[in-house]
Amino acid sequence: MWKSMFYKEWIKIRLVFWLSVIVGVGVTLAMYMIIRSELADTPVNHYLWKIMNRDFVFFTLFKFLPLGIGLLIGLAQFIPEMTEKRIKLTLHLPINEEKAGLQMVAFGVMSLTIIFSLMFLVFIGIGRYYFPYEIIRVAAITVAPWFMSGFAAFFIAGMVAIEPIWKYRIAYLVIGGLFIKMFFILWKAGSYIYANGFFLILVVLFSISILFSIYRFRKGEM
Amino acid sequence: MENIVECRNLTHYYGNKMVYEDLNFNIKKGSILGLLGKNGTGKTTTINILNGYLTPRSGECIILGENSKNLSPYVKSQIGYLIENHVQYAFMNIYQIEKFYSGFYPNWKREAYYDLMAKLKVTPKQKISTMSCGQRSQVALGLILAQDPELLVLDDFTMGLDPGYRRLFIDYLRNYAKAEGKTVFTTSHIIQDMERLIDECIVFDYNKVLVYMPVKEFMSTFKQFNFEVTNPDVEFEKGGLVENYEKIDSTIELYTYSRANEVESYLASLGIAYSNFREVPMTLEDAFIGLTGKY
Repeated sequence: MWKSMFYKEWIKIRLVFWLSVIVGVGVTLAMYMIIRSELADTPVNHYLWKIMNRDFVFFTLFKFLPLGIGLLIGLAQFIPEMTEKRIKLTLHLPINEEKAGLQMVAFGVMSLTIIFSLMFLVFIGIGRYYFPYEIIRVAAITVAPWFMSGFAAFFIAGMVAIEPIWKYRIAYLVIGGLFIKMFFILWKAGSYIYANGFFLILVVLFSISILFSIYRFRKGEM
Repeated sequence: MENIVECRNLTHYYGNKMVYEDLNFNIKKGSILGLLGKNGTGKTTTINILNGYLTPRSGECIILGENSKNLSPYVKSQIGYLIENHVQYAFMNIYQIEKFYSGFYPNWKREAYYDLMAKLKVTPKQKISTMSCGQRSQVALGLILAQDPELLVLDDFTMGLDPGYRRLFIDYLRNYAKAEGKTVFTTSHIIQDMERLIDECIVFDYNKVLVYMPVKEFMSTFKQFNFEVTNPDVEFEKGGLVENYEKIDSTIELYTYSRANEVESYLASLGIAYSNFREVPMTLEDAFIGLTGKY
């Protein structure tokens, strides 16, 4: 049954998925092309000195990309469910309603993991060509919350879309917005080194938030 | 006969607005029950309660032995559900949607679906969102036939269909339900179609049930009498003999469960002068409007 559910979810997001892969990997490649041209104009030592001593973040172009992708995948998955209340069809399938909701979320998480892994591999792989290990390690720590914001945006999109009452939707949006803002407060490279574990726990907790909206939908909240 | 659905003392409110109180009805195995009512009388509310999308304020619905609030996957597999407006996964085409649903039902009857699809003038890759309402209704019906459930719950299936598709849908559905011994619960506000389909009817008015009986019994006992009165200001008290009446100038249309002689005695007892008294044959739609009123 999960195969059928994944098939439905894939039909919904496949265009957005490939678009996200192209944009995600494309922007990462474009970022390194810019760095390459900057390195051609600037002495390498000076460029590295800026990164290490002046907190220069060479990958800011990357910053809100996972957030946007997470949001886009979430909207692609959950807006069609709420259009004409099609979620009724999904909840009527002969599986447990919570399981149906979690299968949809699992598919989104899987898709985001694939997209983000590709982006991360390109980011780290090409980065290692230009920069020493230490700089790339700090860069990885810095981008980790940005990727987590993408997952958080996906979970919040699901929770908001399935919620039947508008005032609750707005409340979730405000709470979700504040939650996501947390990932972007600090700008210095490596600032979140001790927070990433905590962020991860919060994001995992958010992953089941859709169950609350499904419960409220089934209760018939209007 | 075994009941497939038993609704007991259903009461529901939206905020302070009562939809109905203490609604009771059963659906016998193999019968087709139509829930008739004007817009906003609680038809879709009842469907939502039956499918577990709405928790009633009190009372319960038992479907195939389980409370509708917590239906098991098995019982859900035995309920074919058609949503108002034939809503389906419109982002799929007819091939994709069959492939999707078939994974959930071990006894999926692929041929039943494709037999019906063969009659539609659509290409296999045409998305459901680009189909006409009539074509979408056939897709939704085909999926239910392939699912082969014990109980079919159809919410206002006639909505948006032209007369040809309505007839096609009803004939196909009735033949299937009767041949396979399926139980059907359906709502509609296009009553003329229901006459060809349903065995029993429940007629809802705002906050109350007006009728719950076999259609044949309703049609044979509920009558319309027309007559002209000399005093056009005459008024009748509803309840008792008069279920409802309409006044058009000096012509009275009186709806009742009583016989002609009883009505004439009643008019005489009120001292109402009348002429041209006659019984008017009714369709189910006429009877529905007679009972619930035009407004």
